[in-house]
Amino acid sequence: MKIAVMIKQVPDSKLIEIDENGNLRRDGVPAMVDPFGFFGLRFAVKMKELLGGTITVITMGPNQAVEALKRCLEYGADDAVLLSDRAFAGADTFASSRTLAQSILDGDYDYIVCGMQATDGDTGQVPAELSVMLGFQLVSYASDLEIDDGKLFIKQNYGDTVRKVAVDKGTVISVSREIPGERPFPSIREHINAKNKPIVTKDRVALNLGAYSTGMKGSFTKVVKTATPIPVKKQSTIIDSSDPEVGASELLKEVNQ
Amino acid sequence: MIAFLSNSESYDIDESKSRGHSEGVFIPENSEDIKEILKRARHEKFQLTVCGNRTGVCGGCVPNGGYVLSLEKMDRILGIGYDSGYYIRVQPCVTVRQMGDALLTKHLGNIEDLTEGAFQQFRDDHKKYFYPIDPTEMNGSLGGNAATNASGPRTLKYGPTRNWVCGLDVILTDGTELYIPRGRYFAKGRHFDVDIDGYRLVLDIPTYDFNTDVKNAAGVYCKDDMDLIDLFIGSEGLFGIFVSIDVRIIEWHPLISNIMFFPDDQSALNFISDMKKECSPEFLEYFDCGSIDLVRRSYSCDPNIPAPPKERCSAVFFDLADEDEYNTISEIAERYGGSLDNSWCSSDRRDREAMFRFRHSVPQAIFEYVASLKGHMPGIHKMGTDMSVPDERSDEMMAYYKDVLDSHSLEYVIFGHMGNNHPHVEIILKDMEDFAKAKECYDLFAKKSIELGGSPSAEHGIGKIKTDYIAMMYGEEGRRQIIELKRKLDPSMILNIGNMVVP
Repeated sequence: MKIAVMIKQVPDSKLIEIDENGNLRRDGVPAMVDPFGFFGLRFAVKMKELLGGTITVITMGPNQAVEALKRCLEYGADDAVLLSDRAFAGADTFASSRTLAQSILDGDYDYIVCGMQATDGDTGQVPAELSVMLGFQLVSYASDLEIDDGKLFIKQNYGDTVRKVAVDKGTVISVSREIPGERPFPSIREHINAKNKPIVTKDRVALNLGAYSTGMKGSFTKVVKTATPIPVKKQSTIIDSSDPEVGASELLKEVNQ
Repeated sequence: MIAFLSNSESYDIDESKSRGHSEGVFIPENSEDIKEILKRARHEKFQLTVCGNRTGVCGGCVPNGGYVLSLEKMDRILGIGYDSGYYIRVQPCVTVRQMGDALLTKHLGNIEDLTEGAFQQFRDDHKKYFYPIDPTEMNGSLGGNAATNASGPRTLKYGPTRNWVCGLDVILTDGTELYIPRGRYFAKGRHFDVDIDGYRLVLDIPTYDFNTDVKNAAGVYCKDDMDLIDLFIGSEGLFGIFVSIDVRIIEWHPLISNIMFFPDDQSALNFISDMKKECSPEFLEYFDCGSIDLVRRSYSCDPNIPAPPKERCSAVFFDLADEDEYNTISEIAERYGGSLDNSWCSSDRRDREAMFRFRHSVPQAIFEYVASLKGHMPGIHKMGTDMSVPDERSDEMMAYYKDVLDSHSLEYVIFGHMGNNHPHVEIILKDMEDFAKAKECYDLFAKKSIELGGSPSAEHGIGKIKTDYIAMMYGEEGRRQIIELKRKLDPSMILNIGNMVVP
C-alpha cells in the first residue's frame, strides 16, 4: 500500500505580526510544517502502523521547504518529494492542486492524505480539488482511524456528529485534527535514520506540466492584498423585560427589523 | 499622571505563593515617574516594593506593607548597539520570551541606535542572534533576571545573567539616575570611590568572598577590585531600581533538543555524570521518576504538555550542537539501561518549545499544587531547594537529600540542573505538619550545601523566604555589612525592605 501525504511549509503563525496598515509581516518569520498537514502525516503514520506500506511526503515550495520534508521523514515518512520550480510561484489552489496531482500520478498512490487546510491560506480547497483531478473519493474531517477485520475505517468528526466510514483505496483523506495518543516526538534513532531517507526534487518539466498550467500563469485567481478584517462594531439594544409580554414583543420587533 | 491602583491584592503574591500586604500599586511609565514616586516615598516615609512580572519564587517582590511599584508598563525594547558584538537595551519588564521572539524575527520595532548604524547593520546581517539566558520561566522579566542574577539550564555553558549584562541604568532612592556600563567603574580592594557623570559614589563593600565556583545567587556580589555593575546585579533591588538593562546577544546556532528515558533515578544520574565527562551538551537537566509521575498526573489532559512514556521512568533533557556525539551518547545510555530508541529528539523550533514546556511543567505543577493548598492553609508556601555544590560533592549531596527526606517521611520530587550539580528538590506538602518538617529539612540542606563548598541559593535568590541563609553563609558580620551597605545607598530605607536581609 502506498500513501502520499501533502504538506506545506508556512510561516510560524505565532510569530507573524500585523503592521500599522493591517498587513501581515512575514519577513524574518521562521517557517514550520503547517499543523494540519502535520496532522495528516501523523494520521498516515498510524495507517502505516496498522496496514503496512510506505509513506511519501510531498510538498510544493522553494528549496528551503526541504527542511519541512526532513522533519516529516523523522516523524515516520519513508521518502519525500520536493516540487520546486520558479514556474510554480504564485500558484492559487487550482494550480497548486494540478501540480500536486501530477506528482501523485507519478507515484501511483493508493491513499492521499492532506490537512483539511493550511494556516496561511485557509482555503481548504486542495483536498477536494485533488480528489476531482485524480478521480479519487474524498473523506473529509478525518480525526481518527481503526482497522476492523482488515478493513480501514475512518472517523469523521463534524463537531456535533462523529461518523465512522469504511474507506477503500483510491481515497483522498482530509484530516482535521491530531489523532490522539501518538508519541509526541521522534526518537534520536529516528532522527539519525531520517538523514538516509531519499528526498527527490522535481521541477515543471520533470512533471510533464505545460508552461501555462502552473504557478501564477496557471492560476484563475490572483491575490491582490492580504489584510486582517476590521471588526464591525455592532450596536446592541437592551430590552426591558420586566413585563415579559412587552419585552417579548420588543424583541420580536428587533429580530424582524 | 502616574497610574495608581488602590486594590493591590493581586500584587501581593509571587510564584512562591507567599502573600504579603500593601496599600496600593504605582505603575510608572518612565524614569521621571519613578523619581516622582521615590520622592513621595522619601517625604511621606513609606516603603516601596518593586515588581516585574512576579515570577520569582522567593518572595522578593512580595510587599511587607507600604506600596508596590510595578514596572509592568516599562516593557519595550529600546535600542541596539555594537562594539565587540551586538547588545540590546531593554526596559525592565521585557520578558525572556519577548526578547527571544524579537531577536528571532528581527522585529524590534522602532528602536534607537546606541552606536551609529547598529540597527540597520543588525537588520542587514543575515546571521541570526539570541540571548542565551534561559531561566525556563519565559514570562520572567529581564529586569527581574538582572536583579536576581537569574540562571537556568544553559548556565552550564553560558554562565548566569551577570555574564551577559553590559550596562545598567539605575535610579537610586535619592532620585539620582546613573548609567553604569560594564568595565568603567571599579573598586580598589573593597572600596568604591567613583565619579559617575558628576555623581560621586563612595562605598565600602562587604568583606566576605562571594562564591563563584558554583552557581550562586545568595547575597550581594563582593570581590576585591570588582566592577560596580556587579554590585547591582543580583542585589535583589536593595540599592536601586533598574530602568534599562543592556544585555549582550550572540550568534545563534542550530541545536537539537533531546530527552532520554531511563529505568530508574540512579541510571539517569549516572548517565549525566558520564555525559559531563565525555560529551559537550549545552545543558543537562534531570527528572527523577517522581517528577515524570507528577507531569503524567497533572497534565494528562493538557495538549500543550507532551505526554511522557506510560511506563515509570526517569529522564535526562539536553541540547546538542554536534550530532557526531550521538555515537558516544548511545554508548553511555546503554551502560545505564537507556537507548537512542527510548528518547525524544527534535531540531524543530516548535517541538523544542514543547520540550521546554515539558521541562517547565514540573515546577509549574508544584506551583499549582501549592496554590491549591492556600485556601485552607494560608501560611503555606512552596518548599523547593535551590542549592548547588561542586562537581565532586554532587553524589554526596544527592544521597543526603534522600536520607534526610526519607527519615522525615516526606514526599518529594527531584529535578533540574544536574549539569551544574544544582537539582531542585520539591517537597510535596500535604499539611502544616509537613510544612514544618520541610523547613527543618531545608535548613539541614542549606547547611550541608555550604559545608560542601556550595550555595544554598544557586539561582532563585534569597528574597524574603530565605533570609536566614545570609548569616549561615557569611556570618553575622557579613549580614551586618550588607545592611550597612543598604543603609548607605538607601538611607531612608524605603526600597524592597526585607529582601536578602531583615534590617
